[in-house]
Amino acid sequence: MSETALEILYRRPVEGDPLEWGVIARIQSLADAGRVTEIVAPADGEAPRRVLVEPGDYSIQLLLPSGDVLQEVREVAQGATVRVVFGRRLAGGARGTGSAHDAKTLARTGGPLPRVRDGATFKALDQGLRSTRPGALPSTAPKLAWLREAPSFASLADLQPEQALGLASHTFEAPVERTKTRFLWRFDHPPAAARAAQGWCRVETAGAVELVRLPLLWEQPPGSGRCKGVQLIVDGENGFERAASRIDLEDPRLGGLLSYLDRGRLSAVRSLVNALDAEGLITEAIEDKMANPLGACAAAYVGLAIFAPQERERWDSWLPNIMNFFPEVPDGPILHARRIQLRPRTSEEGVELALLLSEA
Amino acid sequence: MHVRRRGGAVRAGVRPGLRTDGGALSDPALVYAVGDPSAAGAHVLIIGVGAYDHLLDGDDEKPELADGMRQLTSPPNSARTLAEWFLSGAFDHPDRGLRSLSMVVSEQAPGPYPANANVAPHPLPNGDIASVRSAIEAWALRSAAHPGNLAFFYFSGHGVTANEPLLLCRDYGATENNRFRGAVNLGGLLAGMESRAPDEQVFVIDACRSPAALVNALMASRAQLGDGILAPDFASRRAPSLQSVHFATSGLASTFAPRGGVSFYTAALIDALNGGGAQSDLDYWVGTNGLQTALGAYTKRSASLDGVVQLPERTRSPTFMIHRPPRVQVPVYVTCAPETAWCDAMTLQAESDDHREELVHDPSSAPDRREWSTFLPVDKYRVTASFGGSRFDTAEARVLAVPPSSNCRLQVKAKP
Repeated sequence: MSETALEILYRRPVEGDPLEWGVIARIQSLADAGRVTEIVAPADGEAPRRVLVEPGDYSIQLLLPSGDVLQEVREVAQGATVRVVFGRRLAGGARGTGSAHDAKTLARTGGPLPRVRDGATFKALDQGLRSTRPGALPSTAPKLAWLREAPSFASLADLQPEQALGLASHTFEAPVERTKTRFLWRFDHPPAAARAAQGWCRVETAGAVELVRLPLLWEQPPGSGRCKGVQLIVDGENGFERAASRIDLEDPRLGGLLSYLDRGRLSAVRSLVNALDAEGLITEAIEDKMANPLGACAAAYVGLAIFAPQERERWDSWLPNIMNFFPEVPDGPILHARRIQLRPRTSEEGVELALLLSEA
Repeated sequence: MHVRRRGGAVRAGVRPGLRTDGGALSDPALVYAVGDPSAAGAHVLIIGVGAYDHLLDGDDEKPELADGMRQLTSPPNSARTLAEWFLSGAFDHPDRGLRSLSMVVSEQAPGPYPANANVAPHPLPNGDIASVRSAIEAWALRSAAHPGNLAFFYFSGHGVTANEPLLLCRDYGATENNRFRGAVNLGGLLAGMESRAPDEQVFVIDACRSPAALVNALMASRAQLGDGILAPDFASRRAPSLQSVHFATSGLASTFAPRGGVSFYTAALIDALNGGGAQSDLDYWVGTNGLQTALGAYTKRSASLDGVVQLPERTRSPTFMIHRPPRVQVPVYVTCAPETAWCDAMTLQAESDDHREELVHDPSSAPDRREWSTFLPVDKYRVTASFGGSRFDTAEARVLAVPPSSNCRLQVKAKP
């Protein structure tokens, strides 16, 4: 007898590389509203997530990273497979398709730069500094330049950061895409100047100067030296009078998780974490710390937030290594400190914890 | 909004079983206290700061320090609405019911004293940093009396980001060489509370997180700005408390509210507490995860309907139960395809075995309506649109009303 099943797929408003672990979907039988099955549906691509169900009527909700909730009700007959495709192929209004924000957030981790310093946010991707300078440039085209080196706290605290920071002598690469309001750069092969600056660049628009740090340590595939998927976008849709930079990061493995992490919705995606964990991807990302320390940090933030403190004892030795091998990544000491805080063992650890946070 | 009155517990001017320790009686912010404070319960502190003496249009405005920030009309209304929700009895937990509620409100003219308060009416603290500090200290003391308590903190007002989120009090800017003396350093407060009981704490921050121009220059400095109020209790040696910290907006972004009304985020908070944040895996209790999911969905939706972007965020993500709504109700949004169907008069109905809602749509009185937004108890519904004698056939669809919200799209067909 044929299987009775639902197949669920989400298509983003703007198509990107497929994310196998994309968005959270809740399946509830209309006959029993109390029974809920949570799965992770792919975003884009042609392979939906297949779920075996009993014959009957089902409500399927998609909880998108932006907060939007999409819902469909479908009847599944005995032996039938019903495919439910959410997103741009559905006719209808915005709430049936997800918002433009999801087109962006499902592909990126950075959000508007910079972000609040907090141990639970993905700090390494969010570093940056802005200062507003009304009406400086006559042109709307942003001017970009790599910093000569990673900035220090002292230079960042300067009231005129652009004057305190040296810039690399040669010009920035031309954008690979540009419209009147949008400029996009990709960094599959970061130039030497970018490496020297540890990803720090200066973005100047008509009304703002931003210092942006690109996640050049996010190598794909891990260890390849390539940064496929790292994009810098200066989006002046609402004008260039204010800071307009953001970083997109496409990662077919962790992209969906990072989208929710970016929105601070980590605990809402327990099913996604469970699915990734069942595939060994959380541990694998941390194991890949030498090739992609930022990916390891993201996975570790998720793990520390989701798993019980007693679990994953191996992390006790792995997390300090991120800190030791990559001193330029402030998340290393933060993660190590949080791990100590969650699993206190000796009274001396309080001092170590304070030192770690000071280091970060 | 679903509200019900708390039976029996409220007697104006009387504090049944209230002890005189813990600073409870001496706390001028306290408007409600009930029962034995040594037993587990929920302790709520609500702060709404709308009047700022030194911001634009304030009594002693200092434009050079205001950085463009003005007086706010929404925070006092939002704070009062949330307080009345708690005092209405809608907050329900069999093992840790509402034990105390304290309020700090900064507004141009004193508003009404909260209904259902059981502490004799008195002027509420005015929202300067001294009064906020006193209220937080007293609330923290009450909350710490039992590890099984729930500590609930709410702030609505101006906020900025300078290394840490800073919550601006009424006298922000009073000290010209240290404007942040009139601000709460939220990071410091969280650190102080994390080392103290109770084990479960909820922080809801309805404030902007945008950087001010000067603050930008200070972001990377190591200066500790604002008042952390509580130093961490390093001697406690207890495991860190679980803190669920909910922000109305994402980093460096703004929050929005109808002028003189309740903010989008606080309205969403009340809807979420009424059932939108209920989690099926918690037997339809409102939990911290469900609360955030509902806050995200409702706030984004309200803001986008008003043409602005507001995306709530959460920075600490433990899972625990907050309360059990007496009746879980969730928003259901009914639309029609094609939209031109709204140009005709129709009767919309949502009907389950136990419940029925109806909207009579008259396009002459509501020409811009393109959606029926209603609240329904969790259940499966048959939704219909009947057009009487018009050009459309009756349309029908089924929907399962479940948290955080449900959508129903009626496919309307013209009569042959």
